[in-house]
Amino acid sequence: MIACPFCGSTNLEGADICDDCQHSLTDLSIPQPSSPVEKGLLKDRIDVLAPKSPLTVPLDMPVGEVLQKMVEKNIGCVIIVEGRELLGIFSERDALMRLNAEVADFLELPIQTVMTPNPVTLESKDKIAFALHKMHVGGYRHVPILTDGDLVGVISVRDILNYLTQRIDISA
Amino acid sequence: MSFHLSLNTEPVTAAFPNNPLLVSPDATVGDVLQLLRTHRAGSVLVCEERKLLGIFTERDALKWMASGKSVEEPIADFMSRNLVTLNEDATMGEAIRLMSEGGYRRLPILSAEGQPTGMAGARGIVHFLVDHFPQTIYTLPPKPGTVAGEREGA
Repeated sequence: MIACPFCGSTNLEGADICDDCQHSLTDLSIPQPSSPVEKGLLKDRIDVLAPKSPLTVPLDMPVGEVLQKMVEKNIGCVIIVEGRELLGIFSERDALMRLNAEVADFLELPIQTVMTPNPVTLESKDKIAFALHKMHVGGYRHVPILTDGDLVGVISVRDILNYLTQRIDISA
Repeated sequence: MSFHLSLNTEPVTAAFPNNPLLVSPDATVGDVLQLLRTHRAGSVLVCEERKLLGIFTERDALKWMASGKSVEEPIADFMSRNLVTLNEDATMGEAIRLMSEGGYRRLPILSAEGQPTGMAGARGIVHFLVDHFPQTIYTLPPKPGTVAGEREGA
């Protein structure tokens, strides 16, 4: 049962309006953040994480060349683009799962054949809670960030961890 | 219980550590890569007679792939030797600090006898943190900015 904050009468759980006074009860079901960290997650936008600008490669770049670039630049994922359109993502994880020990057979093939097409993306004005949601529930390590449809960066699970730890006092 | 308190009292073993995969230093890169794929894991610990020698991660696998070397090479030539490890009684706070300062994604957890008993990962720690504010994260709509006009099923 939920008590109406206006007239005090009790209503069935999940009711939209109070049976007695007809006041709306829908606001009562909106979760309220209980700690500063939670408030930050719901208030701060992804911009705050300063997404790193990604390494982009064309669809037809050979796998071998992409691997070289990833090692040289010391990065965990590349974004595959055509013009301004984001088409796929290729990460360390994909390298391990798809190329594995047979990597020699793939070196000459275009990256298109082993990339993950149509990755989940977020807008830079979205809240950090969404990034955490995507990464945690979806199990992604990297999420490309767009601004009005244009790729501006990539955020990783470590960016989120850093964000959280800056806000949670961990001085032991 | 406050958030602060729990990070400094919770042991790192609460951060959903994975069971460590162990291989010997003379295992070949090919064998290790297949082991990683089979277990869908991101790292193996290289041990000799129960002593931890090094770690071989996705990152090292990428370096091996880019180097174009043979699958018959021993894993010992590609592993990272300078290991940062945690004791079983380390706190979550320590693990997080080590990870963000050193830029590590995984830390082996060692028992008092020096035996590897688990791998603490960035993902496990994020999972642990999210469990402290489930309402904020788990109840989000699949797309940002989506507002349901009516209650579903009502």
